[in-house]
Amino acid sequence: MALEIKNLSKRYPNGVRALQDVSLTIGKGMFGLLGQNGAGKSTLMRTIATLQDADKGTVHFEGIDTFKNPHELRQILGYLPQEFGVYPNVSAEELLSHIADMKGITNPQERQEQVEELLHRVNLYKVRKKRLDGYSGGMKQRFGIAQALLGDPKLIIVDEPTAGLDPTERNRFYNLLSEIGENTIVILSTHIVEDVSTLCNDMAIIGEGEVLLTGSPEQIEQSLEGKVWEKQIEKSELESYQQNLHVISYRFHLGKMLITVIAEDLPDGDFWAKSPTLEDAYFHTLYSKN
Amino acid sequence: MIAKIIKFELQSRLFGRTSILFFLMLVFQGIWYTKGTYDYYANDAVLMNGASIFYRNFAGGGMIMVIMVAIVTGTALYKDLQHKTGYWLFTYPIPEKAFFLGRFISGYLLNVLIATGYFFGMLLVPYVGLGPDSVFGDAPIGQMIHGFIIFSLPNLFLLTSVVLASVVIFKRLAAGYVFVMLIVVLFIVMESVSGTNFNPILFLVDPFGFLLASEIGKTMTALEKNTAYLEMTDYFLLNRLVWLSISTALFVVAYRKFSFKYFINKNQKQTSLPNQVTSQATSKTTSKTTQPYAFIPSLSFSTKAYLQKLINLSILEFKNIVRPWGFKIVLGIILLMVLLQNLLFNATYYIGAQVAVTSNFTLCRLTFGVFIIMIVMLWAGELFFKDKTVKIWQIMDALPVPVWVTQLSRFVAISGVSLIFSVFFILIGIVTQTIQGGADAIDLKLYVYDLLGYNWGWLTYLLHIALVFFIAGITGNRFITHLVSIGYFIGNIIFFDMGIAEELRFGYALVPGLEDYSNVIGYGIFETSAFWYFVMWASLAIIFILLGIQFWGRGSVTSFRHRFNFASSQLNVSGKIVMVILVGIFAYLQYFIYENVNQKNHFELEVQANANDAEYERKYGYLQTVTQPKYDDLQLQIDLFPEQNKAIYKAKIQLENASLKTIDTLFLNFKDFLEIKKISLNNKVVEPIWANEEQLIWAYLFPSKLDSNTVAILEIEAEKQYEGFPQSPDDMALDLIANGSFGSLREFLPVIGFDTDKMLKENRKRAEQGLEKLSSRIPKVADKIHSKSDIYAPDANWITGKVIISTNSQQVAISAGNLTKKWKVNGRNYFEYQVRQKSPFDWYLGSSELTISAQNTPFGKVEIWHHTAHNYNIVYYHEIMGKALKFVSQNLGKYPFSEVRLVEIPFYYDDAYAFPNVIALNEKQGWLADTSAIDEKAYLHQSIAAEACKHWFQQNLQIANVQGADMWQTALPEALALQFVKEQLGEQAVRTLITKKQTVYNRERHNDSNGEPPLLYSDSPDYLAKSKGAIAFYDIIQTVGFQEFLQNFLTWQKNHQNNWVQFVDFYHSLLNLSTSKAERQKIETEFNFSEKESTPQNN
Repeated sequence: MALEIKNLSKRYPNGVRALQDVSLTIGKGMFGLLGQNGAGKSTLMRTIATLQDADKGTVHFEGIDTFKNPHELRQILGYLPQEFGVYPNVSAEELLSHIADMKGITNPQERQEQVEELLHRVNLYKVRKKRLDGYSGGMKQRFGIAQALLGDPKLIIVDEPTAGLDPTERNRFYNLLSEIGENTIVILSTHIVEDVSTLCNDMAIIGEGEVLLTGSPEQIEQSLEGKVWEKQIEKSELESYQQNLHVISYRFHLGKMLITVIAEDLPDGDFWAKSPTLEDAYFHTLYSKN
Repeated sequence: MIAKIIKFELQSRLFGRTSILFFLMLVFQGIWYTKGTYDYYANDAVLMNGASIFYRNFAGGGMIMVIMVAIVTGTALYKDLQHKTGYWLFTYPIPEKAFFLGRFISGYLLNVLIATGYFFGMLLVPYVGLGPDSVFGDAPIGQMIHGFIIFSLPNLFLLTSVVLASVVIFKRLAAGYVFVMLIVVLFIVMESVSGTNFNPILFLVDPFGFLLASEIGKTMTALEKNTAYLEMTDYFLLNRLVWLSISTALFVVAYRKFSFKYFINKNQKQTSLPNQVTSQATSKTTSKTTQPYAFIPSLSFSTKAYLQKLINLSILEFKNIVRPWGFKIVLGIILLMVLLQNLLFNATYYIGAQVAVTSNFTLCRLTFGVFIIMIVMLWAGELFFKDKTVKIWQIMDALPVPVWVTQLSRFVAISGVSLIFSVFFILIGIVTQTIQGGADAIDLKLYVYDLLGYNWGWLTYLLHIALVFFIAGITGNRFITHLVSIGYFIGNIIFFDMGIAEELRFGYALVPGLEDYSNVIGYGIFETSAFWYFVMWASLAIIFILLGIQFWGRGSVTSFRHRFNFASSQLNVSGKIVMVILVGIFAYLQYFIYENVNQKNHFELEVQANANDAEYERKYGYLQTVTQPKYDDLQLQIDLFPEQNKAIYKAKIQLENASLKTIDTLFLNFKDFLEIKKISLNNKVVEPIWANEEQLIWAYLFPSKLDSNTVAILEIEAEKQYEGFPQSPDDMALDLIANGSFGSLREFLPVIGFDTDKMLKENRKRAEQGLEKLSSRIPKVADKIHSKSDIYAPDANWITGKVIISTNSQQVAISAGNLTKKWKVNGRNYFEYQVRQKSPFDWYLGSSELTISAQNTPFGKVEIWHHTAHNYNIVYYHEIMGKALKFVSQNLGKYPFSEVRLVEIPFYYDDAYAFPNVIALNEKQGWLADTSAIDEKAYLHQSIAAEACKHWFQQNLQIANVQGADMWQTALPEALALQFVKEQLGEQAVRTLITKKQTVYNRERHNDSNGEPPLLYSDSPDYLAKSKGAIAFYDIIQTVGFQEFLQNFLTWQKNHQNNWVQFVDFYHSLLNLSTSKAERQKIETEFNFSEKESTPQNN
């Protein structure tokens, strides 16, 4: 089971090149797609989800050419878009049941069972009769997760799924996704590095429509082993360090500025070695691109 | 602060795409409405850019203005909810009320500024080629500004207040749309029910002041129409005051209600519960997440499954529309208005209160149809774009469901919603009909045909939903879909209403005969034509649906080019094949209708018809001075085949040459659709020496010249048959229809010489065709030739004759004369009528399914031939007929006929006809009247007595074909009928009738295409003699006394018994007989005064 993306390119009418020759092979399990805002993640997600045409390239899944036969892919697709709304006048249960019907669950009994199960799984069962326009942002997001899991999806695409979720619900969702990811392909698009490092066995970093890096989070982290250094500096010194060193990020810790630098060797004696994280690799990749 | 808000709002919105688009549309509307209003005022002295036209425009505002306000205004406040900017904006240190005021004023100013497009459009009228320079004057700038101030500014304030108050109270943009629409409905209802009587309540309730502007305009002279400032009458000021008060009240309510906290916390109550539940549920269900996700349902994607989904989805979508309170409120308000209309307004829709027949209760589909269709179209547009609007499209479009399932389900759902309206209309109709005592007359078939069918009923709604479906598919944009679909719908109606477009086959969803239901014959031929038009539109509607599916933008919006790809698979191969077949069917039906309407039924555009008439006048005008023989006797045998719209006949006409000249050529004008089999002159078959089949005129040489004071026999064998079907009553073959045929004998027999009926009589049309304007529509009093010809038939003497007429077994045949014989042969009914005393040749024939009720009176035998079901007033008619004949006999002299038939004819014809032995009244002249009230009693008395008096005048006065003739033909008989009403029902009953006549006169006189003549020189415009003429005579009768007036008149009549009489002679006799200066002045004022010139006239 694999999703084959080959040479995908997309330019919008306003000239923005959203995808540039993107090629990826995504196998069973959780696949993280990491990138900045506007990197092209959502365009790629929508394209895979049959909602947008590409100018060039192909997407195949299980022998299905998704551009030629989008309907076939939709039969095995679960998709949670980055932003979505809900019908205001219906309850979560009604809308899930409706979507389940649309997804091919024609047996009412089965439909009800799966809807109820998912409502439990996303912790909406108690409020299943409530009109959706009364839901908070987090509740709507959980509803979105539930709808993506309806049916028997073999390919699940979730675009920024944890936005708006509190830590408890976020954990609940992680658990759910990792269970599902055992037998399906789950593509998780996010700009939150932690989500990918926590969940994904494979990943890609995307920037300005291009795939910048692929591999497993561990591999990517390990590729920086011995090259990541950290130092506490004065805020006024930042510009000088940026000019002279490969500063991939900076942050404050206890009121002091900490910079992270990539270098083959210790830049100076005040730096200390840092165990590389996926975030460092991500920043490094973006830094290199720029 | 307020100024800053206004400045920012105007800067950011005034030059936006929407504002500019609406501005341009209003410029267009300004031009387009002006043309329509100009056409409405037929008077040729009214300028196209006359002030009163602009006043009417400003008062009406127009649909584009209303749509503009509905769309533009709400955003002024709602945008902060829509775009969630309120969440930060409302935290700023802005005074709440100042914020509201700023937004309100900026919304209002934006409306006003965009509305100036309407003003500019009107200014542009002279420069866009709508007419020759002569129809334009200087732009009445002052009057336009006045109109803008007294109509546009307050009306825009009203609409702005309605929208913003609705948005504040309901916190929904849609609430603004709905309430604006309700204001429009109120306006439309007031306009629809205003009828012919001045009703102050209706004028006050009209929210835009349009009815008053219209009414005041009607009473203005042409000069005033062009230049005067609109008179601010008390009613007008009261109307403005009422609606300004309502607007202000709404504004105050919104102002007081608005606060940031109130406005932004739309869902505060709703969100509290789920949050609590969530926190409780979290701990309880945490353990569940450890359970495996093991449930795998079975999936089905078969066609059967999709069809099932279509049904399920349709039901779900239907429920989603009808569930909200907003829908229930709108439905409730509309149903309440329909109920009120049925209970209150229908009663005065026509001449007076009517018995509760079903056709009265299906009229709501016309009154409310425009609004219902618009609202259904708006709902449809909203529904089709629902996923995009609520931003769930990414989820829904990624589902494994074909577009046809999701979109068709919405089509079905909105169709179901519109069915609710139609079904409720039927139920309300049945209930109100029963309440009003019409249970016995309930016609379920008519309810279904009208309210569920394509006569502006449910199927019409479906056609428009299909249009929205298509436009949504090709535009992929909700706003543009609303704009284009509603714009097209309104344009479609207005273009045809104004006569800019004439061929219904180009007006999507329009079918012929919408308003042409007859209680005598139903829709008649229109059932056939409407059916074929509907089939054509239905085929196009299905094409629209299929194209809507094909082009529907699933997923991200893509370019037009990409979506207009017929190769894409959104519509499968079968669907594409069906579409191609339907395109073929549609094209064939267009041809079929063209063949039947244009070719077989000879429809021609007004401009073509006018050009033909002008050509006839140019080519054959010389015949007016060519001496021709006249009809002297007629023997006609005619067989009618109503179901085939056909007649076969033979006529033997005795022609007399009463002139001093010898005549060698006979010029005969026949009507259309005739096939002349044979023409004989003096027993010799003749062929035309020339013929113009376009102009329907043939010339024959007499076998031997017709000398002075000799006669010739003209024999005609001909056949007439109408083919195809009509698209309006104007094109209808009225003399030969399946049931209810009625028409002049001249529909079958030729007009000799020049046919004045073919002359263009309206000066504006004459000018357009390059003809000289007429100073009089009939010959002037000094015309020596026509002062010796008959007003009823200038090509005929008073004649005698016999008509043998046959028809099918279900019908009876009508003609002029005594019914001397009737018999049956081969299943056909034969009738022989004889006119034994010389009579003006203005005879009619007809054939109908009628029941006969006979009664003898001392003054003659009276028969009432009526539609079987219309027996409500038969006894009353007999009573009135008896009294009317007595009135004529006792006051004027012996009633001329020993038998008289009162015949019911369909409403397509004029109100009433009087010809030998027959009075024909159309179905709306009392057959269905509720005669319990004095108004209706008076009307029936007056209309019957007037026709009976006309009988006497026709047989006792040889009225010359010159100006003033209609004073004898119509005015004096009508005045005598008023006297009859006075004697029978009292002075109050007469006052009611006089008020009606005065209203008609006030309304019509300034619409007279050629200007109103004084009564003395009346050139027979439709309205004058029956209204002003009758009132003038009645006033004089009351002044000099009835008996004295009669004595004078009868003396004068006896002195002129065998002469052609002119009204001007009687007028002078009246003056001579007058006993006082005041009386003399009154007579002069009544008959010889024209407001046009403000001086007595000398012809």
